[in-house]
Amino acid sequence: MTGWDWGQLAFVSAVTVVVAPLLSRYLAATFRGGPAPGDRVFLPVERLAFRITGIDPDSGQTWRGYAMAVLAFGAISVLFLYAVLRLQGVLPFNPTHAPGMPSGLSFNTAASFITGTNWQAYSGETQASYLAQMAGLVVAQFTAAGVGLAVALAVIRGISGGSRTIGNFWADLTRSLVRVFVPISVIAALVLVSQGAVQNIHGFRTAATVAGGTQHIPGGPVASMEVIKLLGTNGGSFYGAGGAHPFENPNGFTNMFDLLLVIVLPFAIALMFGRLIGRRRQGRAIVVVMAILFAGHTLISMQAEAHGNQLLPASVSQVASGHNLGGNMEGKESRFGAGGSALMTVGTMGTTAGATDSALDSYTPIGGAGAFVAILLGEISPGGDGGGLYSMLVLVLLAVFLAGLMVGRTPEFLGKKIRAPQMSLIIAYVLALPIIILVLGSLSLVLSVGTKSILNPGMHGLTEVTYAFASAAQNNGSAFAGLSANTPWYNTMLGLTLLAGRFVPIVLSLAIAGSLAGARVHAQTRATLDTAGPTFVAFLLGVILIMGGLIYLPMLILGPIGERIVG
Amino acid sequence: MLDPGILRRAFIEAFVKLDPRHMVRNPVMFVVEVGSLVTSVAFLVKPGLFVGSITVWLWATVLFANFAEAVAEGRGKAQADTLRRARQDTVAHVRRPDGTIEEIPSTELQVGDLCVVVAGQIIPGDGDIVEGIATVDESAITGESAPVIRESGGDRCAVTGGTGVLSDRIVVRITSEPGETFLDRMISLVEGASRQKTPNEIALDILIFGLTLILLVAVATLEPMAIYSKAIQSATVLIALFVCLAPTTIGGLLSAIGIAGMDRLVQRNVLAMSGRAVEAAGDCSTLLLDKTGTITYGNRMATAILPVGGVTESELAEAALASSLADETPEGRSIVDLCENRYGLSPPAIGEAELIPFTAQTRMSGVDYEGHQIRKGAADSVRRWVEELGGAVPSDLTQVVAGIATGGGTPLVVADGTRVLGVIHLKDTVKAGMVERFEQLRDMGIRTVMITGDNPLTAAAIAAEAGVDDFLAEATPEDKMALIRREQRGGHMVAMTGDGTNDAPALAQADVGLAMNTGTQAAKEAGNMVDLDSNPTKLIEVVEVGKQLLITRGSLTTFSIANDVAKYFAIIPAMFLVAYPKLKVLNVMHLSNPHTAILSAVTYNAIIIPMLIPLALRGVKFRPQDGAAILRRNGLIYGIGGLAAPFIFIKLIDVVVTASGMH
Repeated sequence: MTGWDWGQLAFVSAVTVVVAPLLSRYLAATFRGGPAPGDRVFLPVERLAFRITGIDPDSGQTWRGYAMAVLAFGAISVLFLYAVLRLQGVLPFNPTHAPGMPSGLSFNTAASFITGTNWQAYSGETQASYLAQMAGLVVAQFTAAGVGLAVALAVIRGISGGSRTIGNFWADLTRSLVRVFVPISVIAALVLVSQGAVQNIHGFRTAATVAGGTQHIPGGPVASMEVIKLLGTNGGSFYGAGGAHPFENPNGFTNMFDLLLVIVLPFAIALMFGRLIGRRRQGRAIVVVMAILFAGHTLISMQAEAHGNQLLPASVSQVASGHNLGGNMEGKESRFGAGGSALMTVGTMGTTAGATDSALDSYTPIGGAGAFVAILLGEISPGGDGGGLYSMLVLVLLAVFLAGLMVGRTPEFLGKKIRAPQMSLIIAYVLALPIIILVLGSLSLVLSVGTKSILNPGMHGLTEVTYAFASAAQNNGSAFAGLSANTPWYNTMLGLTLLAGRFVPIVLSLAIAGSLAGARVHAQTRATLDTAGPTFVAFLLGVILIMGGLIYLPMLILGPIGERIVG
Repeated sequence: MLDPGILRRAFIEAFVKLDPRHMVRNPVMFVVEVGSLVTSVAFLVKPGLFVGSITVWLWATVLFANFAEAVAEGRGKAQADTLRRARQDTVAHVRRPDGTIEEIPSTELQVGDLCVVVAGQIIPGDGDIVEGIATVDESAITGESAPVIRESGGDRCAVTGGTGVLSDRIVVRITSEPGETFLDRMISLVEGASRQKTPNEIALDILIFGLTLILLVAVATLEPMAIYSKAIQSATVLIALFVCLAPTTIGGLLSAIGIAGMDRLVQRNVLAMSGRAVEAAGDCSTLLLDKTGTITYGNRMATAILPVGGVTESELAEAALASSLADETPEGRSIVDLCENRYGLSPPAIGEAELIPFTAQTRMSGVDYEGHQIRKGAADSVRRWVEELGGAVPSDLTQVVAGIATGGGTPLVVADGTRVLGVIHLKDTVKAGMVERFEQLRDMGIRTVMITGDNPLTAAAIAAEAGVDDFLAEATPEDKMALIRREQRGGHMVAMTGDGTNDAPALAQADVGLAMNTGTQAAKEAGNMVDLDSNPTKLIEVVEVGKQLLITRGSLTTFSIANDVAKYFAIIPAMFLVAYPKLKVLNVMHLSNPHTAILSAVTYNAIIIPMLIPLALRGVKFRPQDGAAILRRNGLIYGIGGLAAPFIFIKLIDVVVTASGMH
């Protein structure tokens, strides 16, 4: 890694360390209940929304009620987005004359955006109208983020609270949007525009090029989508090329700014958890685990990419000289360099964003493995908005169970005992997605409907297929490329996977929260397991890595690790 | 710890337990058994050294697990046999309402029957003495050979069927149905027959089941990936991989740990009605202890005499001695002891003496002889008595009396007619070693609250001397209940000991209620444990056993999971070495060849079970430390140790297997 790469990593870390705690303070004040910052502006908006929709924000829901509300909202959203995409050709505000999307693609896209996955089987410039982008996809990106944060709030209330109810979904969703996602997006979009990201509504412009040809230059409301794509850990870009497109991600600064937009909020949500339960150490302990994992997979990939690709022929120079930035530059933008590209791309892989600024298919085996591992560990470094926290909390409960037994007490977290009912749900949560990924991934490797889509044979091909299912199951949305996923088999299986990957964890984590809601809180004594101290942090990291390793190591050895060794 | 007879029986039991109907109760080992069957068939179809060796070790894994369970059960059975000898059917002499005595077998006794038991007979069933007093030999259940006194009324009226009356005659009202007596429950408890899984055990079962399931999926889906990678694997290798990864170590030892835990409790002469209570004991953070008989000896002893009003010490000592000669209470005897030992007095020869017994009205006792009118008693009573006789009370008496009371002692004022001579300092002595025990409890995170009927001043002094954290003075049964409820509302799990009938509601309300075996039947019914030794500080040991049980389960689970890392490094390179020779860099242990690598991992996986049987039976050592320190210690030993150990052992086994030249 070059000094410049280290510098970028240091910059991102420093900004996160300063901003995340500040943001967590704002979040905690906003969601604690009672007067909150910005009430003068936000309260009238919320009241209006509640009056129009007839929501009583103070009526608490049980976990079942909350989960039903999330599912109902998800179903309605999918239907609405599906209709917009199908009808965009006849709807107004379509300067690029995009036709209505076919039914399969519309469903895939709708499900993908509602789940925050943003697996994009279409290309934004040509296949989505401005209306569909702004009123459909961007709205979905906002609500997907809002739902994630809302569920996290409900889980926090259940795990730590003394009441059987865990909040009101509609109120949580509204507050998340009005007080977090919309205001931050507005500010951040202005920053991006100031750096050169485009934000207009005038369709393609035709330009005569120096070489004498003509070029269609796309415009569009890009910055506004870019912001929520990142802030909402969604990952879906206006343009097909994503973060590699200069109108979206103009320079090295926006590259780092984009990464920060993705990761700061999930870290801040984890810290908010500590504040809301009145144990800030607990929030910090979770952030430390997230940060260590983040540093791990990001550094591995940055090192690998900066070091260069052993599989490239010797004629390709990977040593920095002149305009050559050095490292494995295939599939990367020279604006960012090998290390910087890996930082942005793999940095977002531990979240559900999976926003990329470079082609993962061209990464070195180990560079790609960094991204893959980040997804396989369950996206907890730092994870999606809200999703990162509730996924991590489930792993914390699992580690608490083992560690709690080891100190000789019935395991308890925040004073509440973890017993058989919770354990069943925790195990279901931990097993659900790996089973989907392994079963569907391995089936696709032996069925001809699966194998015929593989571009690269051998170990790289295995990675292409299994990565696709991991990305869909964890709602990451990034693609290892190479795989021709636009087939009935993959559309169906990936579509089902991403719906399951979103809603199974949500329902299970709400169920865990519900089973703990109102449970007897046991007093803390010196014999109680300290779930915020360094010993537990190390134990939790061990549990996460060993569990992940046990499940996925054979697959990784036949995929990227084997590719690195065998060459 | 392991006697050869038990081991021999356990060896046979291990094979008997191969019955799938038994195995299915333990899902991990059941799947291993199915895997062993499959490789056995593979061997029969196409015999080979590798398949054969793997098959042998897979069966060994199942047998070792069964053996572990059988050993634990065997130790319980040995105890049960001893108890059964005590339960031999006896003849009950039932006294009918008309006064006739009828002889019936003890198995036909009904609740409420009155049985007459005389010296030399066995008490036919559990019950309360309604008439008489007797010395009873309870060694059959407690192992304690010294006979105990049981008498009607009061808190020492309960007797247990199967124990023998050594002297006198008692009438017992039967309180339990035949087949449900204390002894029956104890037998089924130590045998593990009625063993119910505890809440933590059920939760751990779910975790183990989940791990087994996901590893089954991981191994099953590996085959399609291997097919795609053109490195197809045989069923034997896949089964070997699965068995190595599945949590067989903890799965094989789990029931042995549970049985052995209850067994350890029985060895300490504590009978827990359920494993749940034992686990709850490990969670307790508040312990309520009665002062009398628990923290202190309960009988106040004279520790000093303090003369007042210019009386000499020896004059007071003589009077005190005289006043106590006829006093057979422990206090009286301690006064005699004090006077004889410290002041070298010998009992005066009293000719014509009139003993004045203690009454609740006068609250004094004493003796009239040779013109003396010696009285001793509560300060205000003696004072009133002296004043009524026209005597004067020395000015320093009040101060001395108050000084003793403040220090937690009881002042007994001694007077001779119209003269107040001085004060005897009676003190309830704190038992030796109590301060250390409470210190230990504090280290375990348990707060001790002393319950006493004393006034707050006395209570505070004794609490300070014993080193308890808090006390409840002038406690009524209602106060006790209120205290337990308050602690529970504050998030504490409460343990308490008790023996009296008025303790029953509190014993039932507490999370852990340890009833004394000497106590009433009501107390024993209300609590969820009975201490046969009737030693209230036994709770500390119960807490330790409860914690040890959980620590052993948690540590071996962690060990089992951590082991898998090394097994992966042994088996995965071996599986794919043929297709991808370069993967040999992953063979970090440098195992000789794929066959020895897989065989070594499977062998290790099997023999680690019997290697850990002693630990499972003994339990992981518990030291009172704070939670983080215990986690650090056990995490290092069983987590990091669990990562490292198999690397060493698998390598060693590989060396041996290779040297044998078979593979």
